Amino acid sequence: MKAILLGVMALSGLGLAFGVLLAWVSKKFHVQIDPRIEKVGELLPGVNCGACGFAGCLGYAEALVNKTATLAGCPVSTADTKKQIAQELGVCDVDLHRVTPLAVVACGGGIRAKDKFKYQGLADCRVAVKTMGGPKNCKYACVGQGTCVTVCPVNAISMQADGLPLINPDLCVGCTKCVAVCPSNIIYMLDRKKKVYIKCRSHDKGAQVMKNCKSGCIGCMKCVKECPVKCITIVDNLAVIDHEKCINCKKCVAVCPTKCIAVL
Amino acid sequence: MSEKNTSVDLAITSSPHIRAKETTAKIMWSVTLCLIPSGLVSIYAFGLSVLWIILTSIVCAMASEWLFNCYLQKKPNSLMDGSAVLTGLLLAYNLPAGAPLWMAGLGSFVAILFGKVVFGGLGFNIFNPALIGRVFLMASFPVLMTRWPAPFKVDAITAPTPLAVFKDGFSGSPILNPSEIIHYSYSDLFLGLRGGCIGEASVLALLLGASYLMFKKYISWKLPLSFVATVGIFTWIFGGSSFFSGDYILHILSGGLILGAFYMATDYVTGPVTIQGQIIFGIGCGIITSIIRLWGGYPEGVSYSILLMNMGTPLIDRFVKPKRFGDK
Amino acid sequence: METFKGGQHIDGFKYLSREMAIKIMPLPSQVIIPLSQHTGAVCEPVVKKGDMVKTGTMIGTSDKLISSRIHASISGVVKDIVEYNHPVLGQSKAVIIDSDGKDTLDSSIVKRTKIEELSKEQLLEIIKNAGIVGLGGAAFPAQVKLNPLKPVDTLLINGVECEPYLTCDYRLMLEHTHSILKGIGLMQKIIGVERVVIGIEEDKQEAIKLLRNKCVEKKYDIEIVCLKAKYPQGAEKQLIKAILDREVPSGKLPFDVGVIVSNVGTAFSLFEAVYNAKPLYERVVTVTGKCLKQPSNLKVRIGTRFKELIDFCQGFKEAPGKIIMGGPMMGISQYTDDVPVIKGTSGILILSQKEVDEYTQGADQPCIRCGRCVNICPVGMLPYALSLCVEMDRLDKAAQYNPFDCIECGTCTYVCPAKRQILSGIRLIKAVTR
Repeated sequence: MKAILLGVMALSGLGLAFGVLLAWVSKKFHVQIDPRIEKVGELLPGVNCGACGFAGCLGYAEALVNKTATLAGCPVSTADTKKQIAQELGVCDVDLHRVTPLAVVACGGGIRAKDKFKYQGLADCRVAVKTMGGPKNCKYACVGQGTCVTVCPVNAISMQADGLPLINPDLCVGCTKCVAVCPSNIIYMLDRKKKVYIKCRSHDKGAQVMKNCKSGCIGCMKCVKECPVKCITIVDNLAVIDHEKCINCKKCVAVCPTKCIAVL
Repeated sequence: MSEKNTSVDLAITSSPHIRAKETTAKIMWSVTLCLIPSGLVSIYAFGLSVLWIILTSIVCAMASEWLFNCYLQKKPNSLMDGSAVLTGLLLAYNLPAGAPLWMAGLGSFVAILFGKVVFGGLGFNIFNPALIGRVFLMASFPVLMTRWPAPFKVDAITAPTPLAVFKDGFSGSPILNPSEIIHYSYSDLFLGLRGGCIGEASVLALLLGASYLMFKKYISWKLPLSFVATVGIFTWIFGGSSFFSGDYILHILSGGLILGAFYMATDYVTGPVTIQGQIIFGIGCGIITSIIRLWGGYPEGVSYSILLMNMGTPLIDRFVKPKRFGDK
Repeated sequence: METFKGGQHIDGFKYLSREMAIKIMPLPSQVIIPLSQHTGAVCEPVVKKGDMVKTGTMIGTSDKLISSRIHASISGVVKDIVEYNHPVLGQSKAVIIDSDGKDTLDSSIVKRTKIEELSKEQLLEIIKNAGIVGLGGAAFPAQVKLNPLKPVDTLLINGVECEPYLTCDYRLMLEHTHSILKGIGLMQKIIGVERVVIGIEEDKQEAIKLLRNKCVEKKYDIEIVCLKAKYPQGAEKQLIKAILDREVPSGKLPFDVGVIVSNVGTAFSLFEAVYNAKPLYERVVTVTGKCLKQPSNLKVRIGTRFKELIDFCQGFKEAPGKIIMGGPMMGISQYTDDVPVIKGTSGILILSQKEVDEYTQGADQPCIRCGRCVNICPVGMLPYALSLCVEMDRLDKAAQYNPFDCIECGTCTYVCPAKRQILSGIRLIKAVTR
């Protein structure tokens, strides 16, 4: 009996002592945190993609609250979210009608583009393009080592059997990380309302493109002639769509001889 | 430009274009090979049951590796790199000769799962997997883990290890009556005629294998030496009834010190990368081992000392870096 | 024996070609001379399609400070100036010359006399006009290197040739001993230093003996130091460390510690440029490999296709898997044999498909932290840590491991038992963080 009592007393005493100590420590070393940081953090998408340049979404939330960042910095959040955050912070510094853009791959090469050599080095596009000017004959082509797949924070990109990355539009949050990492600059951001884009970035002359790749833009002008709103021009041997003017009629897609105009 | 070229046949990689012949698998299998003499001595001393323990342990380790790595995680087949076999073998060497087979199996399962797979597989584990297995068994089945059969009399007598004799004297060991205490000579200890774990049996056999590893430069002699020397010095100073009178030869030759110092502390993954770091690691292991042996609750402290120093490895690697070329 | 910390002895395979005397390659019918063969600015062509050129005629120059002139290596007609395969850059602008088969020398190429009377400035001008570059690898313009911005007290001559397989410097030392010493004498005069040291690896005893005897015979005050055979002993910084025990910090150049390092091949071409007024239009190339029928050391005109060199060596014994310009440790693999020899081509190494498969087998296993790369790294880096940064895609963490210290010798990758592509990763980090 005595032993039990002693044990209980000793343990309670210890508990009490530590409790007091903890209470004192938490008072003494209390750090004032703006409660808005947590709220904003919860509103942010939480993919921690780092596109804003801060350490994850919480870091960005802190920067927003401290006014060292603007809402425009986050390419992922939807307009609704931004509206809520703006209300929370009492600011409005961003075009709230903007829709998250989508990353698209502007190369139709892959296995259809001729190999210059078989690259067997480190599986990283940034190394591959630097090796003897890249493994494809076309110097604008996707080198297919899948670095965009590695950097995508939401696993929206996967390498396909045709040697090209495919970006799943349902998963893409528009963080632009793949755009930044691609050494061939073939990924770019497209407005989600637009359905048509050119799947080639080669400025080579038509004959050279034909030699290098089965699905490159050869600058044949067919799409330019077909377009009812004249939104396609050939710039430096490459068709360029003015997405502002494009009405998604898809007439150009049908006439393209190398099928390098893609439909989302 | 000429169209005729050999492009598609030629491989393009960045330099260097040649590689040394050493491979991970070769290193792991060599270590495994070097451990075999010690196992043979053990089988000779304790009987065939030892062989079954070793085989069970290895098979279970390989099965666990296959299950977690190849089947569940769909990683490339890693069975042939020898690391699972080595883990299984080392775990078996850390069991007493009379251990039941299920214990060996369970131990290697735990060693692979909690020692390796949960950290991300080979190369990412913090602790030596075999020692994780051993410590798990020690904590779960302390009685089974400390029933040491005496050599050549497997089922007859349960003998204490030399260290337990040393530590507990005549009264501390409840299983024995004083008249049955076996005293070991140094040469018995060296050749392997003593109670203890399977792999600890023969210092001679262990050193034989280790010398091959050192000859091939798979392990550095500096780490084991610093470990063993620290234990020797420490026990010499503090191990006797007065200072500088400890029986350091007994301490060096007995227990798992040689096995631990040459085969487990030298594990690449869980030890420091620089030679200087490895010496610090060895000294740390030596001090902790001696403290546990002399004043701790267990008669043997090699496994705990290595595990504790494994925790310190990232810290050692952080502070002990090679001199940057061009720095004064 | 003098050496540096770290490094690794690598089986050299030099026996394939070390006893083969330098042979003069027959004139090619066509040469492709890239306008970029050196460190620094690309040359502008000074000839046009259809022009007649003679052997040694200048065909490209640049007004930039760091650049080197380019000369025709055969006489004939300029066929075209187009983008062509380049052994380092993949593609580059090149002058294609069809040979007239006569090999008429340019009128400027006449033996010089009264060399002693030439001043430092005149010598530098000759070197500039002759388009001399460092033949050790980086092809740095010699007139810039020999005119350092800081005072220098020692000239080191690199006769190490630590790259496995290559033997062209060794053959030069054996066959042109006196010319090399004369070339070194010129360098010494230009830089104005007292002390000259030649460093040679211990496995080239014959060259050491020959040079020592020649020095005594001709009364040259040159030290010849025998160095341990260990890769990368011939790397500039490691050579300085081994011979003079001075360390060149990361990002600094040898002249920051008062040293200039030059290659024996450079000394030889300097001799030819000054004594014979011959521009750098040919060089010695080791063509080697176990799958080659007759490995050789060849004196080749710049711009000759690799294919012709290989054919001259009687072709392959078995199918080639890799054609490498340079040695196996730092060389560059080629995707075609239709690529020209340039000033920096010290060797052409052919690995058979079997060898390539052997070396690429089991690549990129997990790092087991064995520490081999750390112990051999000649500049004291932690290569495994950088490799892990790449594997984990945390390139932002790499800066703390000093990636820019790396001299890209490749020893870490060579010794790695997990066959990780450590150096490729470090190159990636350098490219991304630059």
